[in-house]
Amino acid sequence: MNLNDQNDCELLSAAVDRELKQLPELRAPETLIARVMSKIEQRELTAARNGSWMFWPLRWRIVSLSAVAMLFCAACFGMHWFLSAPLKISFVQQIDQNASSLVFVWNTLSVLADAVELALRRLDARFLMLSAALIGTAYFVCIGLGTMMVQTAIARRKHL
Amino acid sequence: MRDYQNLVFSTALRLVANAAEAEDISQEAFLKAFAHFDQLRNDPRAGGWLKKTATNLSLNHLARYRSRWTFFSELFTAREDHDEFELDIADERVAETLEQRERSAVVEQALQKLPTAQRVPLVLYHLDDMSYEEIAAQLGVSLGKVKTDIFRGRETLRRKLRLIPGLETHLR
Repeated sequence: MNLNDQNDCELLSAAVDRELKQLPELRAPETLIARVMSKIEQRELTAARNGSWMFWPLRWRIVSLSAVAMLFCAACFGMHWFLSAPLKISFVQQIDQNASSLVFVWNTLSVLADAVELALRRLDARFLMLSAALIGTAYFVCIGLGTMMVQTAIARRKHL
Repeated sequence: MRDYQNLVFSTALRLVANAAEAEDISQEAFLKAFAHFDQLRNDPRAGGWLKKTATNLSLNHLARYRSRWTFFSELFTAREDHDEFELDIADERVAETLEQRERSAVVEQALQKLPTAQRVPLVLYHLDDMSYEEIAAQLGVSLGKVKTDIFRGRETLRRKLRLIPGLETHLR
């Protein structure tokens, strides 16, 4: 590159530099700020969902608190309405009826328990021991048979 | 944000030459700034920080397609010799009475129509005041390539803007 070419390059560089540095800032689209703010709000909402109530945005805290207060008032009102005079009586009568059934069952069980106690006192000790042994044996036989049947069923399933 | 939106958008657009992508990059730059809001709030260097961020984001965006435009940079250069580039100038009378604003618009348009391989180092050199070495390091190319691409970019601008009487004397 000779001297003329070098001068030419320098002049060109200076000229381009001057032209480019004179360029004004380009106008950003009007949607840019709105997009950025929307994205920020979206990220804050996501963070709030993953975080505790104390870090929710103020609007969401007010809305949630209002919703809980309304639910509480509705529950109070509902309870008051539910326990009003006509309904209250029928509800208590229903409980009373159920309680009577339970008392009957309890009485029956008590009678059976007394009968068993009487039988144990009157019967021979050897007879009682033999009976207990038979009952125990029957129990373990049932367990054994049941286990055998289950294992047979599993083995057949594997074979299939 | 209003104070710096034009600066950030201009920086991005002059590098990526695509308005939609420049807007996306500008959005990303402001989101990063928001993450550092406490530090940048009253910092007078906030503008410089945003410009630098926009530049880096633009270069990262271009890096995804760098192999494409680096590979074809030679091809684009060969095509330009035969390219009948037409600027938006109606007739000579309009060109003769160009005001600075219109002239800037023409230069801007010529800059954005440069091939990416020429435009990016040219913008980094003249508008970001980076040295050849810094540009080479930033783009991951050789120093010689940077100088060649910048030289070709200037030549292309001179060739294109020669169509405008009045500008010719400045770019000879």
